[in-house]
Amino acid sequence: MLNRLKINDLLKVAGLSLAYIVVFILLSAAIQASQEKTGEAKINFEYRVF
Amino acid sequence: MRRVSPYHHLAAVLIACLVVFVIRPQQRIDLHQILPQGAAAYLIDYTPYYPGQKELYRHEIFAPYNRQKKKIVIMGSSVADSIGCDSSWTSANPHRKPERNVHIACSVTGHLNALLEQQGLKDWQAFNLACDSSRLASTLLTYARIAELRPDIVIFIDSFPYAETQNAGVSYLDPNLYAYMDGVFSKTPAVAAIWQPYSRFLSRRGNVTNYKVPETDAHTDPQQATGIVDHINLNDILVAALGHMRNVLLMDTQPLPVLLEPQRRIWIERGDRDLEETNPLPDYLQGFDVIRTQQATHHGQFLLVFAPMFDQRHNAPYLASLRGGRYDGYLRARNINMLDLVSLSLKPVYETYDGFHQTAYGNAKVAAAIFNHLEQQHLLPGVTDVSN
Repeated sequence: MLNRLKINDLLKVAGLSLAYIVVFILLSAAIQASQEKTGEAKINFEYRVF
Repeated sequence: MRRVSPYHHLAAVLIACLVVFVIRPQQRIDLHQILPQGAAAYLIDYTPYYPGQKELYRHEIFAPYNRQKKKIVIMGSSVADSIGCDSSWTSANPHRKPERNVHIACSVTGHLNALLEQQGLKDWQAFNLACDSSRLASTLLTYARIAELRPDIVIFIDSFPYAETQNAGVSYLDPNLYAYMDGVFSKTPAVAAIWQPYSRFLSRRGNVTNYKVPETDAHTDPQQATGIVDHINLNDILVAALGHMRNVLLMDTQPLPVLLEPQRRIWIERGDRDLEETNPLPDYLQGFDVIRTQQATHHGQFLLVFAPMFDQRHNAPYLASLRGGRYDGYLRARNINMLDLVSLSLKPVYETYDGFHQTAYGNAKVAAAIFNHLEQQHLLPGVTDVSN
């Protein structure tokens, strides 16, 4: 009984962990993607303006 | 079966945090080997604006979807890169957000692309690689980095004679960059014959004080910087996909209404210029010949455009030296294709806001003049005059 309970728990934790891993990976990628510059921010004022 | 308890969740979150933020397999496992060759090029967030030397590989001219396009490359300083729709580009307007009203559609490049599309030349595209305050030497570096793309037409727009001021910006170049350009321009004997004495001339000019070195790592190996990353992980793919989705959903910010400022009268304050006095020697101009000769190696064209200068349009000595002096003589002797737009008819305030930078409307006129010149030279297939 004790062994069966542990396996069940392990399976549940493993399944949940997998789900959280997917969520965390997507979340961190989304944060990184949102920090990419777009539009006007892409303009590079590398030199001083004439 | 027992239900999932909070302890299961807690354990799972701890394990997930350990995996995602400590072990980080999404960033450590290299998927490069199992992806098709060249896949990395599709993961880059490309931009139509000049992204700087350090991130030049992000410019849309390198995008895989532009590989087959016939390319017109616009180079030069701010007169070519005036992507601002109005004067807020050079003097930000703090009373509105964003402070600068800029959009690629307002530039010469943007208008040129509109004309190309209007004339049905869908396989042609103009690319903006001009940069504020760029001189001839730094432009040569940019050109060297795109030379392998074999652009069909390179157009250098100069607010005459800005390209060679401050020793053509030689303080921008260091030995690594000279070596890099050597590698590009010494491949063909005809180009090497011009480039090698020219690079020796430039390097002798040394560093120039008062020249603001751009925030670019000049020691970065440009070849390495241009190279697409060869390590791809899951995170790269996800960030690129999510970034692309975000761009599609939001699109670039639309330009603000054009702001015209009648009180700006800068052009009246500037005196007449004399090219024969300000021009040191035609030695600097060999840079144009380097580009022209390199272009000729793949049957590409080079066009030098003298940008409109409202304050000099009636300056007889200036115009005479431009159209018959040493400067002009040097370029003609080397058969360099020129287009003189110094006296292009522009309305102050509305089309030129400071006498040499144009608003969106002035840039449209410049683009039309360039387009017509290319058409008259039979450099564009089957197009009609767009003067009116």
